[in-house]
Amino acid sequence: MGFLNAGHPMRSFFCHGAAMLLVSLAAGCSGLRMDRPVIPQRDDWPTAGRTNSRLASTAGTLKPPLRQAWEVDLAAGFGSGSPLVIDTLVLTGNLRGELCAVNLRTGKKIGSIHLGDAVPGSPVVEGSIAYLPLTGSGESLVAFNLNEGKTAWRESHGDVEMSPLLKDRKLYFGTTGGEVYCLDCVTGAMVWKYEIPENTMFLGFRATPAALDSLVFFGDDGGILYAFSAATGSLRWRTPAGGGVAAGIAVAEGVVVAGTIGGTLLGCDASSGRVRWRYDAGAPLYAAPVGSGDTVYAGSLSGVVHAVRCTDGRGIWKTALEGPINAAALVSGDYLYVGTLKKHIVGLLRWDGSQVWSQDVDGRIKTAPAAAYGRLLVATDEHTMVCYVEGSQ
Amino acid sequence: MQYTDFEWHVLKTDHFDIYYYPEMKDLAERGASFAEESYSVLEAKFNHTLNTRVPLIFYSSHLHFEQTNTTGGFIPEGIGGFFEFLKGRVVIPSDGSTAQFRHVIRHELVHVFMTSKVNRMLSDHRKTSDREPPLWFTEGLAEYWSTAWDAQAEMVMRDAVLNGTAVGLDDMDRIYGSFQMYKEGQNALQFLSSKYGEQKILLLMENLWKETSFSDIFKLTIGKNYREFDEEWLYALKKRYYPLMASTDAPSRAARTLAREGFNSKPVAFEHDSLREVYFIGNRTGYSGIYRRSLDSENKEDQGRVVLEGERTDELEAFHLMRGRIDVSRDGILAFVTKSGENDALHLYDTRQEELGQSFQWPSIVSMGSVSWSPDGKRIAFSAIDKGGNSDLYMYDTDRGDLTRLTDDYYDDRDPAWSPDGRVIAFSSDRTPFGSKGVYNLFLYTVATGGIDYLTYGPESTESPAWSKDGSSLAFTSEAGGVQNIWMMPMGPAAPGTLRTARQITRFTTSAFDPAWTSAGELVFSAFEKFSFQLRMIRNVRAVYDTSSIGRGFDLAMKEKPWEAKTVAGRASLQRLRYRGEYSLDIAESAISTDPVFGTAGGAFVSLSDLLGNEQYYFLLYNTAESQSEFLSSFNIAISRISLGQRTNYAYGIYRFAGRRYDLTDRDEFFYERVFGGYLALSYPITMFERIETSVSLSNSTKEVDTQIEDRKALLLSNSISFVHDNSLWGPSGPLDGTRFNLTLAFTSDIQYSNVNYFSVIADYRHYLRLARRSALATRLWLFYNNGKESRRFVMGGSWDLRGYPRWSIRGEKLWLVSNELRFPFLDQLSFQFPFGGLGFWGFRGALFFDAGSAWDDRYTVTLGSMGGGLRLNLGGFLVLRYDVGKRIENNFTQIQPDWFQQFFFGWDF
Repeated sequence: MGFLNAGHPMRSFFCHGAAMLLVSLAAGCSGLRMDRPVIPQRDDWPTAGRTNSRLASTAGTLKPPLRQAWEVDLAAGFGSGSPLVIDTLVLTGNLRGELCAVNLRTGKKIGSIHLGDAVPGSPVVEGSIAYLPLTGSGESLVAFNLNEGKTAWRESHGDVEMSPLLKDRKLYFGTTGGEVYCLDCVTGAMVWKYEIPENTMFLGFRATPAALDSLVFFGDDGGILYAFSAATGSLRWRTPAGGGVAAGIAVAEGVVVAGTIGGTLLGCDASSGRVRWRYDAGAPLYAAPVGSGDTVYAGSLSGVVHAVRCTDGRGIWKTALEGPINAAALVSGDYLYVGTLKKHIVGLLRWDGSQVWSQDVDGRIKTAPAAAYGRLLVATDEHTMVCYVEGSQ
Repeated sequence: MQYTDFEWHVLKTDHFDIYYYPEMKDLAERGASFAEESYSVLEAKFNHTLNTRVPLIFYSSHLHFEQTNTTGGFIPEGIGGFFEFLKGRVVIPSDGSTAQFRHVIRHELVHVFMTSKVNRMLSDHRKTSDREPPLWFTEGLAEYWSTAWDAQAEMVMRDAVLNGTAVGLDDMDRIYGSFQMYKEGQNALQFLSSKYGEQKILLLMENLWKETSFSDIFKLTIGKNYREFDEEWLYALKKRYYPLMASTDAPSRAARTLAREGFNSKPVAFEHDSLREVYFIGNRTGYSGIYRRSLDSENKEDQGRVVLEGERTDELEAFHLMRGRIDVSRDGILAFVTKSGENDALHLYDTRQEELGQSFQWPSIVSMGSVSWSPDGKRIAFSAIDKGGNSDLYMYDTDRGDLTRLTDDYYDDRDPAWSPDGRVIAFSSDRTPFGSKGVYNLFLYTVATGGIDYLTYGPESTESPAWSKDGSSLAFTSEAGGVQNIWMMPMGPAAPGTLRTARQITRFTTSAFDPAWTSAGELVFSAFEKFSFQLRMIRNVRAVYDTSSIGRGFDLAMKEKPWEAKTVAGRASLQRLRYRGEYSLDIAESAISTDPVFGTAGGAFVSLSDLLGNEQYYFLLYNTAESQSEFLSSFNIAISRISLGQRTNYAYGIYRFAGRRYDLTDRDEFFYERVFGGYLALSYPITMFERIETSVSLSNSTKEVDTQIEDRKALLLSNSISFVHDNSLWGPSGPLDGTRFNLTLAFTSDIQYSNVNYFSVIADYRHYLRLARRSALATRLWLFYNNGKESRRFVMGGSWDLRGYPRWSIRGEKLWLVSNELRFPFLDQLSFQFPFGGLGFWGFRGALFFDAGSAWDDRYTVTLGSMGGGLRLNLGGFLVLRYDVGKRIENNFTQIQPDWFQQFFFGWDF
């Protein structure tokens, strides 16, 4: 099984996501509505981390050097979740509460629609419906029908500051109030709910969850990792991580990997929750780990990228970049792309961490990048999204 | 006031532009290292980076810092640095302590990071940038992330909790801006962090966009609003501090009171002619000064009397309340330090003759701290800070006039205390390995050899050594036990490296400072209680020592090498440049106004200044056209340059004004005037309290008056010179003590057409006679005199001058006014508690007044007057509301108004 298992959620996605997406700019006002069909493709980036294992590994290889193809101003900042790429369409939420659509090839903004106070994470798309996390008003999730340009449903269970997980037509997310929800993605009806018992410290869930087989994995502010049965919500295991889990969770080779604010990268057995290893990154980990093969990569706030073997936690290499890292990296073939708060996007060779490419951007990178169809998408806190393609400047 | 000509340089590090002058190059490099170190720490704590380089302006002493032009107004001694939002400047002085310098740098950089993070977060969410955390949070966080919870913080919180003055977050406005608020904020965040996790502090900032009320943000971040949090936090504080009552005492319960009102510190006992007295620094009257009190007086109301008062003359410009101890020689000569012009001065005062004697200043010394006489009364040891910011020990021989520097390094050496045998000087210094954390230990300086030996050694600060009169014991303060108390160490001969022991003398809940011995073996000292520093005394110190069960030894054999300061010197990325003023925008605003008489006018105002605030430009442009055809001729333009970089400030500029005017001071009520010209103004501060101002202007004026057939043309040359004096002490609604006066002579003449030719004399004298601490009798005398062709009228009437008469209703080219006002406290607090919350007002002041005056042109007409009473309320420290009620005295003081007049207005008392 191992790493190849990461394909499961994608297969699920294609089974249920065969519908067409049609998007265009509504005349005269800001909005999104059907114009022409967009067909989900195998190489899309349809959810945070591309798959439900959240390893953020592209289908093809994007080989540096890269050059800027386009840049678009989306008028507000972005949360930590990456943009999505579906066929020729880039979809992203912003912190003004809008869902924005951009043409992947030209960078032209197709349209946007205001759906809530802020969209802090990646949307997830199934069929013609985009599901967006919301925060700021107590609203949790909104389902927006891209074909019809209308809201399908909204649910209010408290602020959500993560990217939701979509699996088998169920949506999974946690709230800042310390609850985990499973909703039916068609109706928004609650399937199950978990609440942190005796939550006197007002702990919340902010780390983007991951899934493997029948389990979904969450981490809370207080430093506990949880595994729930995806179907029933029964708690399978809970494991202290040793520090608040703010970065997203990844699953590689049957190991649940999470970083903590205390600077520990942790590997747990996915089925039992037994801690297999702990790796000291030496600085807070706000960036979700990503991976490929038996290696996971995590960037720390001290600007160091760590490559760690996910089976035993052995450090393989580490490379110091010029600036703190708090956005997840992206794996593309032999390369690892990392953004920093010092406004650089950097390409590293995945095998030894040597830097092979670097490009200045106009703002801090606090959002995970996405890549598909030979294009790397980087959002900055100057409210812009930049697209890179292979080739020299 | 810019006494010193600073030659500014810039040190460029990775993230900072550091502004310094060459004398403090080493200090600047240490500060640069601290700034870069703080940057790394705060980058991780805030999960944020700064987009721009941060300008850090360093001064090597507080006296230099007080000369900065980066902010307007007076900088009090308690201000340790500031972050100025407009240009993102951080301005920080050193006080000789490297640890404190590092603390203030970190503190101010917390502000920089927080401001940047909050602004970025609001921009990301496209929210307006008018939301910011409350002051208790910003200052509490700056303290929490820049310093450990130290003895001073512990003292303040113990005092607040045990005296019932600790307030919750919900009531922080009651202690707004105070040091207690800083420490309560720090403690609240420390508690929040320990209970809910430090991540919640970051979330409080990141959630700021969600709500307008910070209490609501608290609720959605930690699940509790202010009130609910306060219940937890204040309960935890009580649980922590109430048990202390079993083993410690409030100073007032365990020591005799000598002075309790105001701030009292740095006592020294002196006995002569069978009189036993204590001299100390205090500010009970509002002015800092030296006070004297009998040690034997049992009168509890005896707070001592003022011997010397600061803030009144340039010689004794200001006493340093916290910095330096004073001392009396065996001959009764009191040595003390004050600010005196550019630098501090050492003064001698003959206590027997009650005469101020010699004063000393040295070019190499900027500020001074504690002083100590040699036993023979010929030499004075003192601590001082040089232009480089190093705090060292010096010795001055009063007979020979020689100044000798005893130590010369970057360690903070202070509190010298000459031993009664004259052989050694005890002092405190941060030169142990613990010193980098701000810990001081005691040392002995051998006068004959210059050798320095350890006296205490440990991680708890020991300071303020004081020899008993026979030299057998040394009293000092120690932070062992969490707060500062007085300890005593026998001072018999000790072999090098032996264990010295000390025992605790006071066991106060809060803290004691600056012990000083009497010849009867008593200790006088300053103690903190109810948020004030009171002067206290304990007797039978030897007996207390003998029975004290708390002691500790100082194993001097364990001592390690002194700490070494890190600097950024040698880093490849460094650049050192001379400062070149680059101007950036301060204010740019446009305005448009519509008036039923004058129509619509619009314009813009722009000001620029350099980073140090020394050079400023002002541009004004507006148009007053009332019809399209007047547009081009109705431009009003003014350009001014103001230079504050030297002691003599100057300003010059050119202007062109045109438009219809209504001049209520003149007999020509409506007129149209075009005027263009230029001006030059100079201001020279003779002392802190006196200055001379002069100006000259030349302008071409054309005036069209509706009632006149021809325009009045004039080429006006105006000159004026003023002498200004002000040493007033202000209360909540106006001055309470001191004197202010302004004498101005001016002459304006039309040098081309002779249409205008008049001179002006303006005399304004105000005296404030202090009757009690918060009461005063204020007197004001005005004599304004204009005479000549087209001389302007003065105006009077209303709440600010001749009360009871309509505002500006009394006009004339000549004017006199006498005002007398009794100012007194009326109501200290007025609170309302509603079901939805509370509302409170503080500091209502009362006034009884009598005014008389008149204004006339050619012939004196009538004398007018008024009398009555009023209330004043200061809102927020910048706005005073005034309500007066009374009766006019009319018809040359022959008739009293039958009804009552009432006036409600705003403004400070004269």
